[in-house]
Amino acid sequence: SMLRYKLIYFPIRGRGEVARQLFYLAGVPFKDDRITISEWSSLKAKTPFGQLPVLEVDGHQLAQSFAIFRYLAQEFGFAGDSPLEALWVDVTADQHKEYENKIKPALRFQGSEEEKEQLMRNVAEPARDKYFPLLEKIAEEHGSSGHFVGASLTWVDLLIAEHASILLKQFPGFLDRYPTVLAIVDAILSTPKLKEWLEKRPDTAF
Amino acid sequence: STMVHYKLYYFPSRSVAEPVRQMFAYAGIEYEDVRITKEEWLAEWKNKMTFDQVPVLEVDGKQIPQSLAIGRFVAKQYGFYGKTPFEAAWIDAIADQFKDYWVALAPWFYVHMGYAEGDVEAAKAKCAGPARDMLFPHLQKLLKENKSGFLIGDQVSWIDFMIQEHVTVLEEEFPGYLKDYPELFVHAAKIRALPAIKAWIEKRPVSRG
Repeated sequence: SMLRYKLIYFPIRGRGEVARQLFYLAGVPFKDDRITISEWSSLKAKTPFGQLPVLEVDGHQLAQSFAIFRYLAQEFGFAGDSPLEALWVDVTADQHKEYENKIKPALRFQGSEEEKEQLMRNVAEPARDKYFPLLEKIAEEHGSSGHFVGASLTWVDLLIAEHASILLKQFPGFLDRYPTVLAIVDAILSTPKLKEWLEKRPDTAF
Repeated sequence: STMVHYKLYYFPSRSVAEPVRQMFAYAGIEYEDVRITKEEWLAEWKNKMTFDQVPVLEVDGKQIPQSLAIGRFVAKQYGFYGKTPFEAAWIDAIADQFKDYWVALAPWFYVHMGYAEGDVEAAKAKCAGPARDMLFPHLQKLLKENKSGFLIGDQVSWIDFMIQEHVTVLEEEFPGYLKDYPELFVHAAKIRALPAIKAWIEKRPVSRG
């Protein structure tokens, strides 16, 4: 029988992983369409914004990772338990995206040790220290039981936990000043159903 | 019924606050339109805002930051978020694509407006084309395909106000930038002509952008 959902993305975690996690957590089957660069070059013009990921729902396309995550989260119950919680999930996600944009030049940077040092000092640390205090504040005011917002798992929990995994792999100890965040990330990654996915998913560097 | 008390905090400009102001105008919702000058911001207001940022929407005394989260919240409350979850998701996608475009355009835009130092011609050569290509071909396609004249669905939505506001600024500041996208001007004129929006435009404080 035809699957309702298809996620089209590259064979990496990147901006597709949270969607895959949502499907798995919800127990909803989907086509995990991991495409090559050459397949992409012929598909690109047929996508809404010429970018991936794209979600197909009954053949209808949707673009932009956060729009996809929010749509699936709402369908499957991972968008917060009230309009106010959904709002704070959205606030957190947008604040996180702004931080990720700032820290991006320092992640996976291949260059001299001196350049890496400079990026750490001038880019990574300031970006971290602007964002993570806000994240702690959000968690304190709006989250509980090992979640950033609300008392149950949301898509922004998955977003932040995935990012933290990559970040700490490259920069161990980078978040030591933010133990509450680390504790929440640990709690999220220990969610049994999510742990199952983390263990069985295709292994990619990022 | 209990009326919600809204205060919108932003600088004395339209920019990312304007879609919210327009939704309130269209829905006939009263709110305090608090405009903070740059001097006031640095002297006292930055510390009062929950994330040291504006815009902030205060809802019955509780502060909410982040313009897209604010916009979506207001859109959902007052019927500017499409008629189905899929339409809502498309509205979200356009809002995010607009933000990505804006980040790409900002180096040129900020220098042009005098918000930042720099070589405006060099910035234009670098940013203008790539930024435009990220957004406007796709919006043009949506407008060509949607008989209603709105971007998504058959009624005005959050991103109609968002895109119209920005196209207006482009008309004012960068004439010719969208010459290959006449549908965007037709769309902007349509939104500006909606009676509640026309009335708001006539009475709102004048600002450059």
